[in-house]
Amino acid sequence: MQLQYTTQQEAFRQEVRSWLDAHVPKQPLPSLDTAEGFELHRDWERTLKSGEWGMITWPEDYGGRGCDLIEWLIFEEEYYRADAPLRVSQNGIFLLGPTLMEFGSPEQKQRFLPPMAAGDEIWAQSWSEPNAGSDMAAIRSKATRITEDGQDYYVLNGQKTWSSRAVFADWAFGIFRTDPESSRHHGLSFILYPLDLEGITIRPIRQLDGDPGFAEIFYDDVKVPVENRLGDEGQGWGIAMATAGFERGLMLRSPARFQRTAQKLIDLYKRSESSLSPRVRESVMQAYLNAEAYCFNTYYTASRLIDGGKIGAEASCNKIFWSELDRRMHRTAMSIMGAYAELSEHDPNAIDAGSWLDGYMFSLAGPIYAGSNEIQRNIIAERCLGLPR
Amino acid sequence: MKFSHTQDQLDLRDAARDYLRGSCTSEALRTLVENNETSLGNWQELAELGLLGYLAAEEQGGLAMSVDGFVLLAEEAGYVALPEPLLEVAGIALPVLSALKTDATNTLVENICAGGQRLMVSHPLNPNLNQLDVADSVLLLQDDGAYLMSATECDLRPADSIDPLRNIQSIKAHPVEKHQLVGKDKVATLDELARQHGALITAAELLGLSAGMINMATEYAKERKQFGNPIGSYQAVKHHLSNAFVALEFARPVIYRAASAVSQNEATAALSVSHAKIAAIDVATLAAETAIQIHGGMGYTFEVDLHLWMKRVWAISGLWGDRNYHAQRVDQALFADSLATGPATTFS
Ligand SMILES: Cc1cc2nc3c(=O)[nH]c(=O)nc-3n(C[C@H](O)[C@H](O)[C@H](O)COP(=O)(O)OP(=O)(O)OC[C@H]3O[C@@H](n4cnc5c(N)ncnc54)[C@H](O)[C@@H]3O)c2cc1C
Repeated sequence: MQLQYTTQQEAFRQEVRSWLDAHVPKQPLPSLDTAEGFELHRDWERTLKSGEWGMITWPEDYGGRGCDLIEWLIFEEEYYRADAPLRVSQNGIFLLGPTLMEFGSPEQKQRFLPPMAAGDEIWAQSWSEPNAGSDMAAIRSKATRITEDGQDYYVLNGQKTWSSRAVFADWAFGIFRTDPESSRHHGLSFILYPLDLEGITIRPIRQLDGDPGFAEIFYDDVKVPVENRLGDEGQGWGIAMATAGFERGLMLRSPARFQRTAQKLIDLYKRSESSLSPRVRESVMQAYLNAEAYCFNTYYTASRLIDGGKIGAEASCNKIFWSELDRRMHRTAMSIMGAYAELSEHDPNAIDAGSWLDGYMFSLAGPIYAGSNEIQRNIIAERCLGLPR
Repeated sequence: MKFSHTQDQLDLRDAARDYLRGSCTSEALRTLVENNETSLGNWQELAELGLLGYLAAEEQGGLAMSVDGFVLLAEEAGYVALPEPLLEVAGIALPVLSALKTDATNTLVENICAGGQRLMVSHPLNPNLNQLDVADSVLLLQDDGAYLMSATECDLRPADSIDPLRNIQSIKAHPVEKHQLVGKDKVATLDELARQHGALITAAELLGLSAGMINMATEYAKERKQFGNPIGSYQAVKHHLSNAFVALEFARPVIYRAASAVSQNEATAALSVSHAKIAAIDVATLAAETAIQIHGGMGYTFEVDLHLWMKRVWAISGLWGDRNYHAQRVDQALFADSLATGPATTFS
């Protein structure tokens, strides 16, 4: 076991740190769930690209730097240490990107990955439907194949919902039923489509914080060329499961995010220590320990992956651990702020600019999105422990 | 940066695993309990496998391996609820003794590696010694110095553990000058070494016990049928076991990280060890309570093996510092000593 960074890794950290010091906006950007905030976050993605930091683990040909997972973790540590903006491109770079890398044709990779890393095309994810949430195999939205003037198309009809960032994004990916006779996870195909196509209607949905963070998408005879299908026709379910694996696995929520929150929680606690009960102190300490544990676990997994290992159903453990840690930390912060806890980010007296309340609301979504934690527990029981279905 | 064990460490772990799972079986343990015995009588075999001298230098007959690999052995010992004091002798007493490097202690280390003699540490955080034999030696750590005594020179009184496989004795010793290894000025280093190894190795054993209990409960849930189906097909049962499994997955790297810190003698090793012990106590408590719940009435009896694992957890959780002791150490670092926290501080 070798838990020291090499000089090369230390040098890489310094490079990231000085670049971020020089470029991270001094004032936090407005929420990326607003029209203005979205575009400012897109500008930030372009700034990242100008330093070649768009998605460092990808090969250079696709706009990356060919970094390994340890360098990725170092980058993330510096990123959160600098309080850099949230990644508006996260659905693309963390979820669709790795999926394209595994299942995309060379043309698709060349077409989609570079603009994704550059922030020129921001992606939304469209799996969920009104009657297909946890039970995603109940999807009913259709993609009917037609030929017109010698060109093959899919015609999309139906409805998706809860699609994050779809209100402002450029493209979306999702699975649609290409075989009308099929049921459950058969006969589904993985399709990429621009969100401004004729026949698409987007209805913003206000989230808990009041902003339109996700949307319903309606499809009325929307024509998409068949080249926009990822993988074979009818193979959509398997590919979508790989995407979901990336979502719960190593990339989406790196430990630095939670270590930063724990650090700020310690600071918040110290500012009002004298008036608080020992129980609060205990929760703060546990937050620190669990954020560290998440970090150890991630380095442990990353080292295993670098040695050629694979991450399987254990990704579900990750998702449960970080989402519940995040909720607990924010709950503790709310309890520390007492009568000030209700003040929103717009109130000048709000502690830490209202970020705890905002974070608490978002932390409540963690155990729901990316597959609810109940579903993750089912997966762990059946796939890691081998219990009967 | 590489958070993984070496191939050598994994190979030795596998060898130990095969041996322990093959010999320290459920039947073997049940027979001991029935006969009111606590020893499998396999000390020489443990020596031959190299487990006793894992941490000792090669010239002393050891394998010169490091404690970040030893925790893997401790996990295996916990997984089968090994009753022999392997961890106490080879994982805790031996590294403390080795630090002294006098002729007398070197000879004793060699004897320990060969399985000829055993040594245990008596310390305020480890007041009762397990399976202490008349032929064994005791390393006594007190404020005024470290002392080496034979068991026969100590005043021993049988103590009664709820764990039927622990044969413990409380000890009172009145060392005199000829027993002294080091005096007041040098005992602090040894004392810290003992505290760190003691808590770390106990944490790793708890990890193994937890894995053992989760496995037992999972197998039981696949077999036992109620309402026409295996109870493991019911979601409430699944979710209990998943919770314990998640806790285990996230406790393990905490113990490995602490083991690495101890083997590299890092400045924050004590803090890492305290984190490890807290994480281990928490997962073992959860695993034990989950496992008995899943066994239903059966779990409340001597009919299934679970009680042996559960009682071992109760017995050792408080050794080398209970949860409160270690929480206070973390508390001190975090709130009084202003430990650096946040991203990029973990490994630097
Ligand atoms: C902030 C946020 C962002 C999101 N972004 C996206 C997005 O970008 N794209 C997208 O496609 N979707 C997105 N979603 C949707 C998300 O994937 C779904 O909300 C989630 O899969 C749960 O589905 P549901 O809301 O229909 O709840 P339901 O499936 O109706 O579940 C309701 C409750 O029942 C429980 N439950 C359901 N089935 C079972 C079962 N078999 N066993 C035990 N318990 C069960 C659930 O765990 C949950 O507690 C987002 C959701 C949120 C909150």
